[in-house]
Amino acid sequence: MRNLNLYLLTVLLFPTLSQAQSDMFKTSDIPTYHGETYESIMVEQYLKKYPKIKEIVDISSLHVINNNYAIDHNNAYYGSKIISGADIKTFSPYKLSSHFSDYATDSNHVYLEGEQLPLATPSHFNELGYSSRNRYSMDGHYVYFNNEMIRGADPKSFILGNNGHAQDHQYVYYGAKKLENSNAKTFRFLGEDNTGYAADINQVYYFPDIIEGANPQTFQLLNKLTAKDDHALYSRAKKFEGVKDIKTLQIFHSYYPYLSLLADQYHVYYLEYDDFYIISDADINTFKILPARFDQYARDKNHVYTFTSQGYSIFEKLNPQITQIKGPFLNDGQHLYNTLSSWQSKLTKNEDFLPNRIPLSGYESVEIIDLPSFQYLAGPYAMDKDIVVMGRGHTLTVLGKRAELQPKLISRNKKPKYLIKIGEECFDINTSKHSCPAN
Amino acid sequence: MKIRKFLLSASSIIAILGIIIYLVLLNRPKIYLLNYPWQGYVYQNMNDYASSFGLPNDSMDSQSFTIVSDGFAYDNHAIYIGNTILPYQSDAQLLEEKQKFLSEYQNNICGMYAPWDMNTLEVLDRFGGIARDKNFAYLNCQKLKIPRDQIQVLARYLHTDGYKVFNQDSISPIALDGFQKLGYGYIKDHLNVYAQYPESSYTPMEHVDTETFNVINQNFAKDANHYYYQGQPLANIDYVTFKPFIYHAADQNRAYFLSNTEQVSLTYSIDLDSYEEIDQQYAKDKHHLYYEHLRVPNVNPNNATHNQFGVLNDGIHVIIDGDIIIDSDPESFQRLAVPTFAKDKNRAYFNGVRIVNADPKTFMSIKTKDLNLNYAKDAKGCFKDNKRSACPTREEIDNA
Repeated sequence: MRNLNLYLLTVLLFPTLSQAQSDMFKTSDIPTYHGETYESIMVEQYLKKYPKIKEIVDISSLHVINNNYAIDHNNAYYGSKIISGADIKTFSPYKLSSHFSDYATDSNHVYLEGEQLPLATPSHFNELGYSSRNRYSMDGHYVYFNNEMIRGADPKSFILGNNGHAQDHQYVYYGAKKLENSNAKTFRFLGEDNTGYAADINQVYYFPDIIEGANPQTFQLLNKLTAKDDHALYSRAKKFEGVKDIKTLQIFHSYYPYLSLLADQYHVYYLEYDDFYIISDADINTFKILPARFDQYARDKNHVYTFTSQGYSIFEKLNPQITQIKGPFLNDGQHLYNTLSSWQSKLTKNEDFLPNRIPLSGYESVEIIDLPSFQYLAGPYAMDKDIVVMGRGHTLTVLGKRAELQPKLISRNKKPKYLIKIGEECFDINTSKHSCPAN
Repeated sequence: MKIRKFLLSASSIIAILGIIIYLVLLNRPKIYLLNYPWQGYVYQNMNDYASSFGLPNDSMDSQSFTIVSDGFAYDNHAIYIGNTILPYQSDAQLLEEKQKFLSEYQNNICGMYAPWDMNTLEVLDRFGGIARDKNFAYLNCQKLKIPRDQIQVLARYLHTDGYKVFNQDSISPIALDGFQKLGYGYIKDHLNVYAQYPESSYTPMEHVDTETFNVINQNFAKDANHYYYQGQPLANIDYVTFKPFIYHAADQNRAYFLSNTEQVSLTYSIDLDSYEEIDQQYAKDKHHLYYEHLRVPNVNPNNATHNQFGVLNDGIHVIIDGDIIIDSDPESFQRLAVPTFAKDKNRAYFNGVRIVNADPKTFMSIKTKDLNLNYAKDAKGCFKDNKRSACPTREEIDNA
């Protein structure tokens, strides 16, 4: 019977309380007043958010301080965790309405998310700000990064910068780390955006890393990830030597910021994240980018090149002067190659899938196609006089006989703009199936 | 016989004519003679005009004050266009400004099409789109059947021909009998009280006690039984102790923050005696400062004031959007034209966080056409958000 009463009470009271908690009402339905107080609503919300606290807290004396802090007559709590050593008489939130800061103070200590800040004096405590959920604060003597004291930082001159950096009158800091030998007065960020590169009079930085040996006087960015000084090339914090003439080195072409071809007056270089290749075969005077939708190709008077995450390769048999690129197919009339890209096919469902044998990317020479009658359709689809094939994937797939499948390109007014009809089925250029339009 | 017949028919014709004359002339609806000093315009006097445009009536000359259009007037020393005041230089200037004003009205209402004579055009209600020229009266771009000398604007969006009241293009239930403006859009006639919500229409208020109804301010009204917010009765408030401010209200149970009729937020356990509104966002009692309905902690509500730049502070902290700006100077803190930027005598701020190495003395924001861009500059160069950056291009800057 008692349980039933409790149940009824909950069912009847809960809607009014939860309604009272929600912020907005219409003027015509302001709820009836049931003796709610700010405190009772806060307690209700707190218990709902932290149900575990019910096991340890004295609910009759529970006083909620803000969304995450509460006290009863014995303890202070952060969520449902007891804050040991807190003085409940003077315990109060430092700043309630800020979205990221979760500081509290009592007469002796400062707390962040329920943890003490070592040696912090509450009377002189100040929050400095935050960058990407990392909070800086200080008292009269020390500066803190989250709960950690930044050793040696001067609170009087300490200010926050961009990209996770901060500085006092002397040094630059990243998080709680002091950047050794840094010089705050000459510290500056390189590049417009959040590249992470910075320099002062002594050295060059990539986020908190000091780029060993880089010359801050001549250091310059080539793109967001790549930089050079007077003797080396840098990608992020990594240094590459082996560029023949660093003075004339510049970006030749960036397929992506992390996939760049560079050139000086002697050579072409390929930089893929932290992997650096000197393309010693390439002829700098005739070197050109071959435009393609998905993959990265280039040619000079001798070779056709492809650039992938595994480095670069040369299509030995192709004549660079007459090579055409159609979707994944490279064709010079004598040879046909299919550019592989295994992430596009659902290999994990393929029983033949052998991760060690199948390259993630690369190319294969295709022999079964009759080159004089080769005809490209769209996407990865092509055909000759006898068969219809699908390129890319981990290898070329024969879809069937051309006479039976009657492949056709359908252009439409809506997206996708092209459909490839093969037999009774229609695909877009990304091989996704679509319903075929009538006629 | 013939004479008798003739007389009979003559008398019957006279009788019929008499009946017609009686029906048409004597039973005609009553013309309400409305006493408006500037016939057609809603304004009763110069002070009425001045207060509705926020003009300083003490420096205006009532002898020479003339209305040319709703929103365009002049006296012997100034031209008043909306709430801006131009010094009167010459008649040519007056004419030029008037042409500019009227062609702007035409562009807004009719575009290229001008149904009226531009030289004699007068705008009577520029929000309701009532105008007239030497020949006709107009509602927006359409000619009205009401003669140009008979049209009278009664209130925003309301006009009359002396018989009926029209709300824009439809006949309004409001009667001229007992017509009375109660202020802030409320109208009373011999039967009902009407509230002007939504903006362009007037709806009769239900269950209102017309005898005791009175308007308190732009948002609140009351009668013997209810308080009303924007024309709607407030449910479940405590009538006896209810204290309306402008955006906030309070009673013995709780406080109310009202943004519109659909958005009321409640604040519980306030101190009613000391509860008062500070501005549209903030209220306070002796224990707490409230941002809409939320308590702002660690602030002394008793010291909450605006500094010379209109920024709320408690003498120690600057309070922006219900949040404290740490370590800022309450005396000199000001928000800049791009409101994501602020500065005080020591620092510059972006979204309440200090900007490194900015010079507060020369720091100012740069307005751009794209409102999502945040540019500022100091003596050394420009900032985008909180970082040093290239300055915005000439095309990006908003010169307006």
